[in-house]
Amino acid sequence: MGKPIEGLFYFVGGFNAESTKLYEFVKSQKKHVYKTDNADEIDQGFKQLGKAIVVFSDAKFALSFLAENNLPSESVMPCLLIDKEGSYNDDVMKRFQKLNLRFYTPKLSAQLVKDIKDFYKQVKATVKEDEVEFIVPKDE
Amino acid sequence: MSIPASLVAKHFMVVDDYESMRVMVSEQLKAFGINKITFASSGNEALKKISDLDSSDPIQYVLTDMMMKDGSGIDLVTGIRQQLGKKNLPVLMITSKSEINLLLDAIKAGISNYLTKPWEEEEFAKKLMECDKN
Repeated sequence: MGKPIEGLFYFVGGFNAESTKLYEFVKSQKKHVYKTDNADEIDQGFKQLGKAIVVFSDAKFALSFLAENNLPSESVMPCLLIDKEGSYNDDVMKRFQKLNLRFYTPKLSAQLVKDIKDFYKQVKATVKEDEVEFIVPKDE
Repeated sequence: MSIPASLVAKHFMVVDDYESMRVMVSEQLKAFGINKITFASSGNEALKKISDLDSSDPIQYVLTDMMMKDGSGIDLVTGIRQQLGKKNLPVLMITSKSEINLLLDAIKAGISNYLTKPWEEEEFAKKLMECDKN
């Protein structure tokens, strides 16, 4: 029998060092992680599973992508913003909040870690010097 | 829900242009114990694979998305019925609620049944079995 899918990660747009780290980590855990720029694919996956995280590496791109594609179609779609270069600012954050999205920046690493751990129970992650470090459990 | 062994043993094809949706459909099939699955990312690829495998390891059940970049699921089922002459190959069309208006065309083209996204596991199993009886 197959295992039920726990959740999906959709990486949209480009990558930076931090989002690459997360991508490689999730992939190494044999989780369901996809690179896509297709909003319909994200929307369908989210509606089917009810559990998907959309990962952006650039705040400005994220906002324009979401606006252009009229996302999210549901009230809550977790979006993970890993923009260490700081293209986000208070205005950008307010716009994210208006879209009713949960979002994270490196400054909100603790919340990110908590949510990632909630998302995948077996993941161990810590915050180290304002960076998120993902750790493969020793017993796996 | 228990799926009959005769259905579990069949060779399935999953057709969708989105990789994540192909995986979700196949994981659902695997949860039913169905493990022999061939994938196609377009209608044309599906038709070619069905044709190529026909003499060695024929596809016995097709699950296809309705709307794809490279032709629709309706084009695929038309190809299966008319081009390949496979009148009895079960074809379960997976649709979004917004595509319901296209269902009449899909039925005319020869789908065996349809499943609306997002699906529930029980409904998925029921539709799978209904298709197999047709």
